[in-house]
Order: sequence, then structure tokens, then C-alpha cells
Amino acid sequence: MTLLAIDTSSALSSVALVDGEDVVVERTHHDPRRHVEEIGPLLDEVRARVDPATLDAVVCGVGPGPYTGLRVGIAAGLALGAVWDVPVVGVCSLDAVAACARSLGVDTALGVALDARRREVYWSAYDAAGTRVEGPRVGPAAAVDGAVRPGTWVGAGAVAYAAELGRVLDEEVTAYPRAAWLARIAARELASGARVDVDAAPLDAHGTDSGATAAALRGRVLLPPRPLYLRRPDVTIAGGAS
Amino acid sequence: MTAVVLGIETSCDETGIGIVRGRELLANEIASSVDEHARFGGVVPEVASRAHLEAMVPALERACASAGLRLSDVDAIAVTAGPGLVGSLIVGVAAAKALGVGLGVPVYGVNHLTGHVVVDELQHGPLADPTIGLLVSGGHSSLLLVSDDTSSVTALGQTLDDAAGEAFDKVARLLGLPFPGGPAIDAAARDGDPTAIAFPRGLAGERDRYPYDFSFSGLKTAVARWVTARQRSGETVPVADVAASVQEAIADVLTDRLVAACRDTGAGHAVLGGGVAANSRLRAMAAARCERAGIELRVPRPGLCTDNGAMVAAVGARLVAAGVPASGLDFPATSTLAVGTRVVGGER
Ligand SMILES: [Zn+2]
Repeated sequence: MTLLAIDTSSALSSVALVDGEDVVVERTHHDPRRHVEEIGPLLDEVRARVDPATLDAVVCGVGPGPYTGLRVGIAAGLALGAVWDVPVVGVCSLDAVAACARSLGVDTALGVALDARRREVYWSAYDAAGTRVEGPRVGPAAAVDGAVRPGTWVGAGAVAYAAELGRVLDEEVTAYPRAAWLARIAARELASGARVDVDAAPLDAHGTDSGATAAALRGRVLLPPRPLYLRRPDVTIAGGAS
Repeated sequence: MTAVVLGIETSCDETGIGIVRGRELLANEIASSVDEHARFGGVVPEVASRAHLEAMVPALERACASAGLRLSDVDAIAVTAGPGLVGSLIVGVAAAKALGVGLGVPVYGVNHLTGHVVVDELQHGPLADPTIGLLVSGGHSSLLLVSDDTSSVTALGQTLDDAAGEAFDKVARLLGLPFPGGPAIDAAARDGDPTAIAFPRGLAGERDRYPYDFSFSGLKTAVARWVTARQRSGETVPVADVAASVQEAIADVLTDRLVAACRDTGAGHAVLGGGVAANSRLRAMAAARCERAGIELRVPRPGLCTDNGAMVAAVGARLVAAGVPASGLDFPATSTLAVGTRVVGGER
């Protein structure tokens, strides 16, 4: 199972080519404001190792994450799927951080939190087996429901809000979602026969509230390649209408 | 073999994919999110950005189908790198880079405004050198000087405040007409008297300081004041007369500057572009005044005037034909891209 994965849902842009569990190549660039600039060179470096004839799918990190950056990776992934005529699938970017943390030996309940700006975090919670049991959601770290609050937290948002969340594992590799982990998750799912459920609503173009999205995504790992916005768009008219 | 160029346009609320072979138009697919913005009375950037991402690949597939081509037949990609709404531009630029990498073809980040002028080559053949472009839309109002040197463009003037299309939108809102305001005012004006109310011509007395610039915010204020005064005194607002008079004022200012620019630069040719070029009064007045001044006026058909992918592809085709280097893969999307920038990041 050979997959090309892209994630631009955080300050780290990453592109990886993965063969099953093996990472053939992964390229990353850290800059919260240059996703659209860096996606070209990152793709170009990984492209050299891609054989479109044997590629099984393109995997997009569908967030949640700041929208402008998040859309860069999804737009690029959709375009590559069209060029190479391969399926494009989505994986929740927070799941990639959780999978990475488990590879470091975390085998208890786990929470992932990433920066959502506006003094809020994108977060999700996983049980000891690694299954997502809550989220993705968005909100202040202090408001994370105590009933699902796990013992250990990872991710740059968890580090930033350690006082609110509790015990935090602060490792560089778990700070942000990485494409290689997205690809491994998708490879396992696809190998076990999972297919994208395009009716995994409510992922409509205007997003929806975070609670409804979390409920709809319970138990779903492979997702349509569409952003998990979690918030409705801000209604500000272009050009500052007066 | 003449190169096949695919153009991507996502600077505002239209997702456009165009395909050209040189000056031959092969496909021009547009998906618009205008209906989603109507209830807000203007374009909402985040709504537009979300819609671009949804519409991109379906538009790409429709364009290939209507051109009877496969993506692998494309020799170069051109994409609007600015000016425009940055969140919207980014969707197109990201897709363009991925297409370039996936297909192994060059990517040109080009200027949206140039496209509004150059697009006329797809309908009326090569542009004369030089040509003056008058671009009027909800996002821009500019006078450009385009010379033959592969899309070299100079900005002569632009709006100092609102774009002409924005002025139409705001006046339409005052009159209780729907968004977008341009077509609504055009329709309402049909039964009105364009000389009923003498609305101000922005910068009319400041030709020395602003020879080719526009200003429409004063017009909007004047209309608001006029309408409010009628409403206060309990009179009905003569919507058709107000619409016709506003339209007359906007068309007068735009065509006055267009003719002045042609006269001062010695250009004998002009192109009208942008969504507001569909306005019937603007077209008629521009045609009459250009004819009187001995200027040949070219107006692309409506589907090429509003924002579209073919105009971007047309710029790309000109650059490819002239052997201009492509942009590389790390160029940005620039909301305020300067008019004179012809290829973003291509000339380092
Ligand atoms: Zn335009």
C-alpha cells in the first residue's frame, strides 16, 4: 500500500510518501504563515520518489486547523488525485499526533490539543487502545469536559495550555501532525478494507458546530477529503463595506 | 506545436478553470458562490474560500471534458497570484502548484488585472500596441496601459476608495435592490431618467492631481443623503430615476477617464473588462465616446468579462509564447499584487 500524504493543518507543513508502515521520504517545513509558498517545493522533493502507476491513494490531513493553511494541503491533494487518477482520502490531523504518541510508548488514555487561535484549542481524546472517543472539538482548554479528560496530553496546544489540561508529554515529534503518520493510519484502514464514507456528514462546506461534527465522526477514521472547520465562517464583507 | 495552457482563477467569488491553445479558447468553466454571499450583501471572504475548495476539482474535470483533453495534455499552468482575497487566492495557487508538480509542467503565477485585458485576444485576436484597458468590477476599477512587450502593464489610474461594482452594490442596498447591485441597477434604470438627479462626478475638478483615478465614495454618500431626505419628507423614492442617474454618473466618470488616457498616451485601442463591463449604459457610453474620439473599443463577451480561468490561461499562453521563465514553486499569493508584476517570482 503506497500512499502520498499531505498535512498543512498546523504551523508544520509536511508531505510524505509511505509504503505500508515504512516512510520512503518525508519533508517538513515549520512556518505558520508560509504554507502556500512551501507546499510547492515540499511536493516537488517527494514527487521524485513517486511512481504514479503504483500509488494507491493521496491522503489529506483534514484538520481541524487554521483554515487558510489547512486548505493549502487539501487543495494540493485533490489536484494530485485528479492528475494521477487515484482516490483522495482524508484523515483527522489530530489522529496523526495520537498515533505518533502511541509509537513513543504512550499506552494510556490520551488527549491531543493544537492551537486554534482566539485562546482556544482543537482537541480530541483517545482511549487506551488508541480509539478516538471524543472530538475533534474546538474550545478553551479550561472547558475540556472533565469526564473525557485523559491522563496524558500531547501536541503544541497541550504544551501551551498545560496549566488547564494537566500532564503533558512535550516531545518535538508530537508537537504537530505529520504526513507520515496520516499515511500510516490510512494504509492500515485501507488494507483492512475500510472505504471513505462520503455521507460522513456534517462536513458540509459551511462547517458546523464542533459538537455535531464530533458526534458524526465517532468511530470514523477515513474521511472525505474536506476540511473539518468546526466553526461557521466569520461574516465580514470583503472591502470593509460601510 | 502551440502550448496548451490551463488557467486557474480564484481571486474573489468565482472559481474559474480555462484552457487555451495559444489564442484559441478550448474551455472556460466557472463555478460562482455569489448566491451564498447575496444574503450578506457582499462577498464574505471565508465563505468564498470554502466554496473555492469545493468547486476546484469538479471545475477542472468539466474544463477538461469540454476541451476534449486530458490533464496530461496540458503544457503549462497559469494561476492568479493576485490581487484578490488572500484566502481565496491561496486555494488556486496551492492547486496550481500541485498540478505543476504532478504533471511535470511549469507554473506561472500571473496578475489578475492583466488577464481582464489580455482575455480579449481569445475573442478578437491580437491586442494592438499599446492598448488601454478599463477594468471595472466589484473588486477593482483601474486604467491600465498594456504594451506588446509580452503583457508589460503600467497602472495609469485606479479607484481611490470604492470599486465601481462596490458603488453599485451600496447604492442597490440603499434602494432596496438585491446583491449584486450592478445588474439590479441596470434593470431598474431602464425605466428611469438619467438626467433626473445630478449626482456628483468624483474627482471631476481634480484632473491635474488625479488624471486617471476614480472615486465613488462621495457618490454613495450623495445618494444616501438624497434618498434619506425624500424618505424623511414622506415622498416615495423614484427608484428608477435614482438608478438611472447613478448609473449615468458612474459611466460618465469611467468613460471620461478612459478617453483621456487614450488621448494622452496616443493609444488608438481600448478594451473594457471586468464584471461591470456588462452594464448596458457603460457599454453604450464607452462605445459612443470612443467612436467620437477615433478609438477602437473592444469589449469581450460577458463570460470573458467577469472573472474566469480563460483570462488567466490567456496571460499564461502569451508568456509561454514569449519564452518568459515560469514562477518556480515557492511563489506567494499576494492580495495587493502590483499591476506591473507580470510573473510572480519568475524574474529572479
Ligand atoms: Zn476581476
